Amino acid sequence: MLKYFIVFVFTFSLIQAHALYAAEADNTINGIKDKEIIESETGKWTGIDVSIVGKYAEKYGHPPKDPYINTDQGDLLLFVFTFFGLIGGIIIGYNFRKLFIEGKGKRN
Amino acid sequence: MKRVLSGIIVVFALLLLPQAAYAMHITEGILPPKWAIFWVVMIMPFVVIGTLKLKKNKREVPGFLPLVGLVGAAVFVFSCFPIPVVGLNGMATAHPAGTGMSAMLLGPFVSVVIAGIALFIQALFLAHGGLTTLGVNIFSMGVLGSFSGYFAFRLAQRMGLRLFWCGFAAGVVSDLFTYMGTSIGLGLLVLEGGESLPIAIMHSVKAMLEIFVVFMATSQGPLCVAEGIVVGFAISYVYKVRPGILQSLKVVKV
Repeated sequence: MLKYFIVFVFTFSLIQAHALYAAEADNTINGIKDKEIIESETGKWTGIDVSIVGKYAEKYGHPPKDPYINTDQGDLLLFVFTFFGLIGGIIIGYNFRKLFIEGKGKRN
Repeated sequence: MKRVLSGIIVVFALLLLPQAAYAMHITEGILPPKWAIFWVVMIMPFVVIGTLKLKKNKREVPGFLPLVGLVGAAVFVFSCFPIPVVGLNGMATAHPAGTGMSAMLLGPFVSVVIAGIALFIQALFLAHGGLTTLGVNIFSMGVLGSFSGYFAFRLAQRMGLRLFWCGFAAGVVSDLFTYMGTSIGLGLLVLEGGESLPIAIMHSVKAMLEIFVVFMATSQGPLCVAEGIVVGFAISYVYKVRPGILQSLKVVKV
């Protein structure tokens, strides 16, 4: 267990360090500055928790602040969502097979 | 051990860099410390009883642990899964809760523990919710979502409805109550003002109702129905394939 935890922490640190280095880099291609535009905050398909919860929290004088562990940096959030989605999918699949495929027809 | 600790410190140091971040559920920083503590105290008895029930059922009910694993992972995935919905606010995304299903299958107390674990992982790694808002998020999704879903399921059973519709009721009601919990959490922020208590309570209730109506009038309304259908099919499927599990857990009578 400890071995897996160390590997996870190492991989996570490596990716995080790489993401931070990439964010600091000057992404200039032939004089055109690459600019990140976050459309989802104002555009279509915004989560209602963002648009409604955030709006009312600001109205009552308590705007949201950064998470203590901020994975919302570049593609890092995509990585963690994919990673935990994969883990969740594996757990669902494993237990589904155990319960409903191998255990089909069992009394208990 | 030293290596593990230093690894943790490095990860935290790298992650604690400031950047604007918005997430789902009630986000980090929205609750003042006194409300954050209040909600943690509120949910604590449910978590303790749920943990004890989890241990007891693990020993007594065969097949309980794989079911906890399956439902727990499903709640985790459901509650951070932004589903595109077209509501009155146009094209938006909203996420289901999943606690109606877990309460129905595993009981409301165990469902609170599952919701707590899911929300804790989301707050820790997914910038989804928050550590200071964990109490209120567990209260809305775990406590209100689970207990309302469970009682809706039992009430529908007593009314003699088919199993699909009992599950449907659990899914819809738990989703409604989850967002009612979020509305309560946000509405109580109004009490921060320097008004007299009756006026502050009136303003707070008004704010809760306003937020709840806005939630339901927008994308969350259609999503409630979708969650109800999914939960209805899930319970029907479990009954068809492994009715013994539902009988052992006293979800259905023999």
